[in-house]
Amino acid sequence: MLIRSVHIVNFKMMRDVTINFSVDPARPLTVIRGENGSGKTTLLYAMLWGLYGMNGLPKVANADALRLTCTFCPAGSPVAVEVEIVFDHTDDTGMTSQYRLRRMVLETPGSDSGYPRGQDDVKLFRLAPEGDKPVMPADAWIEHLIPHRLSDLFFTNGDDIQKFISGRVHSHERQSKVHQAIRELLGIEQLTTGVADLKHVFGSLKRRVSAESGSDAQKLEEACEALRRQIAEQEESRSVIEDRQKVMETHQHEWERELNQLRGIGDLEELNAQIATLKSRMRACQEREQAALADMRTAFRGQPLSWALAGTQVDEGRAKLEELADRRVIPNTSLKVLEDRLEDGECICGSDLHPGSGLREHVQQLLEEQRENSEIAQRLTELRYDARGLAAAGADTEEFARRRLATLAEYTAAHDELVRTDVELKQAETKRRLIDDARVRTLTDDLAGVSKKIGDGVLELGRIAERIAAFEGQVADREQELAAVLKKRRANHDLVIKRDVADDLRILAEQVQGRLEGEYVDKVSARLQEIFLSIIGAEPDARLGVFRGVSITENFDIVVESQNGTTLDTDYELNGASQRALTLAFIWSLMEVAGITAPRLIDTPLGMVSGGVKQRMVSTITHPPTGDEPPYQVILLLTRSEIMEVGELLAQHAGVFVTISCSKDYPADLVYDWLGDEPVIQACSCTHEQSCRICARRIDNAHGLAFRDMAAAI
Amino acid sequence: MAEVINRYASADLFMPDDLHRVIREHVGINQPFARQIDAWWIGFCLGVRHGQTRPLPAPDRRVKFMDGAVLSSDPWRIIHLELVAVGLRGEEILTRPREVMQLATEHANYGLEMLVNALTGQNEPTLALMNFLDPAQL
Repeated sequence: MLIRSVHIVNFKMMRDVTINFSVDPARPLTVIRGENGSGKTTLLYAMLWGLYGMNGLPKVANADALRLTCTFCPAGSPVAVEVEIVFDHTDDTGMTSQYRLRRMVLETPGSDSGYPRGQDDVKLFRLAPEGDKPVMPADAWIEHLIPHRLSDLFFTNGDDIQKFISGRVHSHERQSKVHQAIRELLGIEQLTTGVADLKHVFGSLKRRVSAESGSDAQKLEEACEALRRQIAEQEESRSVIEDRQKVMETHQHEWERELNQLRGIGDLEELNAQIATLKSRMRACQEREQAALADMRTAFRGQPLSWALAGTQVDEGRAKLEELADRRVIPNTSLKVLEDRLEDGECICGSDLHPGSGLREHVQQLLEEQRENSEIAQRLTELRYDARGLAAAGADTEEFARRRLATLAEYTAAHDELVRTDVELKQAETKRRLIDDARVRTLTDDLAGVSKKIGDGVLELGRIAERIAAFEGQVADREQELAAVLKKRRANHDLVIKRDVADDLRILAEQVQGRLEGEYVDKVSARLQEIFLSIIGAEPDARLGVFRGVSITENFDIVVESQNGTTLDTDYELNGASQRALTLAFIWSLMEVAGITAPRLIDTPLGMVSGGVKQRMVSTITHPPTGDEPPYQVILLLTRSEIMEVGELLAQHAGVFVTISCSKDYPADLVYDWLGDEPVIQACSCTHEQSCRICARRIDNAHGLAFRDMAAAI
Repeated sequence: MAEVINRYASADLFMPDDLHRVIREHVGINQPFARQIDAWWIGFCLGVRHGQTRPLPAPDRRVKFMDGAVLSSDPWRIIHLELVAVGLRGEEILTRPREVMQLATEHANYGLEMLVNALTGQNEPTLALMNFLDPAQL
């Protein structure tokens, strides 16, 4: 199959684009040049959609939500999306015909929640001089010509080019891809069908031999046949379960990997518990802080602070009072003595103080004088006693200082712990934010479910194996009986011979199948090594060479061999250029050994590749077929930077050059305004050395491109 | 201890209004001072410790925040006040309660200014105040 052209209508920003591809065996290369965002990947997707419908597009969680139309299409109005691919197909007889595949669907642009689409309308026509003839069913034909499961071989994106070799792809999936590609492309699958047919013929002949050998033999044979059917049914069940197990194991590994990545950040439950503990500790610290502050406030209104600050002056006041007391100014007791003497009428010296006595008048005068001083003395006396009481209760001028240090220490300790805890809490919360809680739960549930199913599957496989062993034992017994019966009776000699021949053929076919598979793998392996080492410019025998060889193992793993029998990890020990070289070498070697004619479309294959490797890679994958090599077709979607260093080589091998551009790049990058109402992608026939009114870019001058008029460009 | 007689109950307690504007913001729940009198008293103690006074400003630049009756709630303050007054001015001052209050107010004015400086611009004024009130440094 070689693709002649593709016509794309309303697929994303490709509103009406036709691209022709080179089908010239001498120039198998088509170069489609486009800067970032010009529509190279859109072209790849459009072709995948045209061939396989939505199944051909990259897998996303909700494929129906993928939009085929451009975001500029008005909401609510159905838009016809259409891709038409014209291709050549050479059948097994060597006859080549031209076909036109047309896929169309109506999509109604709307909100982001969905883009209602009708059923795909797929039609395939064989083009003939007398008129196009529809070929039915179109999807089945396409699947036969260019199987979807092998689309990775035919249509490759530079970004996921490592599907066949990467350790990041689960080993079962990777090995299955390599195995499937080898079986499909090398015709081993057809041989497998032949072996099954021979088994059927052998069984039928056996039954006939038995039938003609008498009722006992026939019954025994029927019993054997019934048992074999049981075995076949059990084997089919086993096969179904094994396939399901593989799928589930793939999911299990993917989910475990994702979960491990999420859990690598930290266990969610553990983090939640840690955060709760830290928050609780924060609260405790804050309470300690508040308690310390409350103690400080209490201290601010207490007597110890007063003693601490003004104690010296208070003590001076107390000392004055004590001095007054020492001088007996306080307390004032004479007032009471004078009053008592006047009341008794006799002085303490015995003199008469009765009214009318001369001395009484003198004492009365003394009493008045004392009364005048008594008020102040009284107050001083009271103050002295109060001060004594206060001092007795605790006149400790150091108490406030001690309390101050204690509360400050407590506050500081609580605050320091609070700061530390806050840091820990923020770290834990940051970690938790990185964990998608819902996803962890979903993955955990899914893993629990799939683990249980895998366990059930293992048990079921064990039961099936036991059943098969039991049936096979019974078959062996019946066959032994049958052999004895047949020996006794004279069986139809011709039928026996045919049966034996059929059995021999079956055994032979099975051995051929096994050998072919091994031989083909060896051939692909050898060619793979040749191409890979040639691209990277390695000599297997070089003393300091890192790459000694490449091979495909029995498990269909592609391994790169290094010094001393070691192998290299393709993810971590191969650089990007070598990874691309290895994948391209595999695709090329497989197609060469299989001898099939098929397109090989690769989007941005030369990223991360430069220098000699780039030259050799381009030379290897674009050179015209030589010798027995079948014609092939290479379509490379390249950026300007990928073309650099290999422009001359491309010009030698390319039969067609196409440049695609998108009007959204005006005026930032494009020189000319296309005057449209919405962004569109257009194609022109400019080579990497030319430009026109469609593709002219502001940086072209720096690259010395030749400007062409429109007539020449379109 | 016998009941202390408050001879200053009828006296008005003042603060300069510039200081009062700050002090009143630091009175209440979770503030350094439960009452304005607590701030005034610390101001008085600080003034006494430093032996410094600040005259009460003119009536239009002062605020009466309380009367002397509030001293009865902490009678030990009356005793300290009078002992300080006696220590500074002699025993005769007790016969002139107005003079005792003036003495106290002028010392408090000085100390309140120190308090205001210590409190202004602090995130946790209680902590700042406790740090400030270091008897060894004052």
